[in-house]
Amino acid sequence: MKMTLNITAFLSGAIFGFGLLVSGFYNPNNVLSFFDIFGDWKIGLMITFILSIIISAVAFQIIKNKSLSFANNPVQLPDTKQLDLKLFAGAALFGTGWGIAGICPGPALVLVGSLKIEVVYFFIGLIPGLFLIPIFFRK
Amino acid sequence: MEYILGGLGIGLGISILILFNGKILGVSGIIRGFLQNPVAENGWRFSLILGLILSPMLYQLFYDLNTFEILSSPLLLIAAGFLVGLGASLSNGCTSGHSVCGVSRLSPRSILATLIMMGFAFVTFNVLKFIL
Repeated sequence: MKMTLNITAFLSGAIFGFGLLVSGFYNPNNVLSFFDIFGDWKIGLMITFILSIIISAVAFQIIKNKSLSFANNPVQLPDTKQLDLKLFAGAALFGTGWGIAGICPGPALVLVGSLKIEVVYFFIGLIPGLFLIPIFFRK
Repeated sequence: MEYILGGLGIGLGISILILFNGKILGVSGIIRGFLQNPVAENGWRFSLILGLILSPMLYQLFYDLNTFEILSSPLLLIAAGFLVGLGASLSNGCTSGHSVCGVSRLSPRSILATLIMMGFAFVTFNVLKFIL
């Protein structure tokens, strides 16, 4: 049982990563070109983004009212509804960091596997960043 | 064509995790969970992270790996990583969790977060391009 869940999680990561690679989303230079609306704007990643949303929407529609997954694991969907300052401030900080280097967490892991050594610097910032908040607001 | 295949891959990866494991594919939350939970509960997180790290090997069965350089300086990369980590932890999600999973579930939180994230990324990039 547990083995099945590890295999599906591995496949999920590998196929998701393949999608990031084939679309070029893992390459920070492409992501930065996507932000370059006044210059050499590459809008192609929008196609990738929209298509991935459509496919995921089908999967979430299938699982929506189920309490167990196809591998009999509990389905956990976020139920937070609050539109609060934490959400807005977090999204703003995230966007600022994303706009600086064109790297977000998924592509960062793919860059590790692509042996782009410089991505280590990104992780040196990322990991303390991920853990700073719970020190102040205990959950 | 690559953009379409990429979208299929990302969507399929997310679909596998929710349909079989019952989990949202949010990479920042998965990295955080992996680092703070006991080893015994981390099997699926470890497997998913491993899949992501090994995905370039799968990719190389079909394509050549692109050669490119990460152009940002080490200091900028550390700053970017820190802001991305802090922001993802505050808003409970990143590009995968909010912008793909959340938007596809029509979650108002995720739709708002995505608009703010993209807005700030556009502005930051263009401001830096102007001053650097």
